[in-house]
Amino acid sequence: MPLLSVSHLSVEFHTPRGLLRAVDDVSFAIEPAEILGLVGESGVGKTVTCRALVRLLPGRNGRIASGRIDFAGRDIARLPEEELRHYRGRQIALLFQDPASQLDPILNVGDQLAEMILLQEGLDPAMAARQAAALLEQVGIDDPARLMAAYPYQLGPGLLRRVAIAQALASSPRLLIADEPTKGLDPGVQAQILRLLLDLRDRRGLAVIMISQDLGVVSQLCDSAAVMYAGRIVERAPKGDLLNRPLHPYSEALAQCLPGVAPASVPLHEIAGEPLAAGEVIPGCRFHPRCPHVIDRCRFGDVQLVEVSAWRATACLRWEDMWQ
Amino acid sequence: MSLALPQWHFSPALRRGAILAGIWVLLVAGADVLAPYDPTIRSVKEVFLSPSWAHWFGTDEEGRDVFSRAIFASRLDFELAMLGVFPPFAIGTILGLLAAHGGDFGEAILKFLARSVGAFPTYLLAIPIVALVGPGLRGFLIAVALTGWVGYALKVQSETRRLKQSDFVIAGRGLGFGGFRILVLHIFPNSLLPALLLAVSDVSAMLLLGCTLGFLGLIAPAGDVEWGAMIAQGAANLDSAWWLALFPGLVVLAMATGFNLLSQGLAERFGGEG
Repeated sequence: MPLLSVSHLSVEFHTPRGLLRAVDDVSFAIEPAEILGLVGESGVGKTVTCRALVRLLPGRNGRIASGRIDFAGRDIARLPEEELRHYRGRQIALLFQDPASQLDPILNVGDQLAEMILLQEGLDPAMAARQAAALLEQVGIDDPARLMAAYPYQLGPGLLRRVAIAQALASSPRLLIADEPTKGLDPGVQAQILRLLLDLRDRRGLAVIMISQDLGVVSQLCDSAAVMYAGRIVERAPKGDLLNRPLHPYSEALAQCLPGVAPASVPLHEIAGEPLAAGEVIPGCRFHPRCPHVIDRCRFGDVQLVEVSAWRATACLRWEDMWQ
Repeated sequence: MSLALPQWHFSPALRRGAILAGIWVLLVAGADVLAPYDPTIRSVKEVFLSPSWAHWFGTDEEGRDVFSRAIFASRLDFELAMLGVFPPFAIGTILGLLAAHGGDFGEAILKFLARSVGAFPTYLLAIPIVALVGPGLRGFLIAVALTGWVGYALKVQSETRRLKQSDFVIAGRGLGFGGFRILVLHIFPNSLLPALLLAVSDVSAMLLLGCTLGFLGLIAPAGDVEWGAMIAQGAANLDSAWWLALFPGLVVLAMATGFNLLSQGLAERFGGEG
């Protein structure tokens, strides 16, 4: 049974220009100890989807319009706010894109971790400090005592990311949502953080939903991946398949954009045209204005995600052509 | 070789403001040593002496040294300005936090209260309140508590509103922290800086309000020396003894300017808008 299963989730924002549907009929599921990648360009609804899972939508005007978010037998989309608090942090933890802004700027690292621990277990402060140090060791920090006295602004992005992960782990969640956990990090540090996430999965059975713009990272790390475009999931595939045999032209285009994967003789690829503006709706397949394989049928009607095998789904009308 | 000192940048405004504020503190602390004469000693032979080397600021109608009196007056005015800042700061900060915590409803209530109080000029509200409660420091503090909180409340409320949408507050909710816990432990400390900057600039506003009430005889009826009262005393003799009103007036101007410069400098330093 999946740990979390999202079905037909839609999220809307009230804006001065009217109702904007940032996430449109999205469904996916994640098993315990699975790492799921959520891929796509900026603004396709990845972050909003993830924030909806703990009902912490950005801004004041967002709401879940329809759909279910089943976690441990309860529908989070319909949970009263008071009960929701027991899911946030304790069951599902959130890592923000920018670890520097995720931490309270005027509390030191030790106090920030201890607050989380004290809240959970009612320990005394000295024990909480010891637990905080242990947490920091778990995320690969050798000298926790020194780090605990430091303030967020004194730390580099790699350390901040580790502290943010430690804070998220403080209450032993079963699912971690990581919004671009390697954004803005040096390649070496990126690899360390990815290694850490894999490690936590292996040791704790932690399930991870990882948002990324980088198909390379996703195909290396994730057990499965979902590609989002214009608020919808356009393809779901297990590890590797997305890179090697994409069944949607958008995934194919993302894969071709990766330098180093294509042979050196192939010129570096880019995706033609602009992505749709957030909430923009057009008839037919939402990718058709940018699609190299577009045919007349793509421009009309509503193109749905269809299951093509037990593990794969695509929203491309021509997926059979792509299969060949 | 360079010393590894923290990179503190003292802007001209900050430096000048700090010097003027420092002089004030020095006067308060060292009045007994710095004043050349006892401010209470009367002398029939030395009434209305114009400024001279013996009496820098001249003497008044009872033959008291105005320079010494101005130095001793720094004490009561310091109390007025410093203590006067606290009640509005405390009340405004708490109201601002609660209003923002209360969402649209709380903010509407705060806006109504702020408009009601803000509709009257501060002086117009403060003067009858002091007259009603009774002249003196206590009346002054009650008057500023009732009138001065509006700026703090609106600033803290808008700051809180902004912080509520900031990542670390949402992250705190994501960790399962309760709303009140986040308000007190995370939002409140982070919204304090703009309120503190406002408090520094408010010191000079409190000084001016205190001196105005003093001028009207609402601060020191028992005859304690106070700059506003000194100016009032001088105003009665403006045509014959101009020094009586001019020098205390210049001192008030200098001290008010000092704290304005200080708040401007601090605002530049800490990136607020003061």
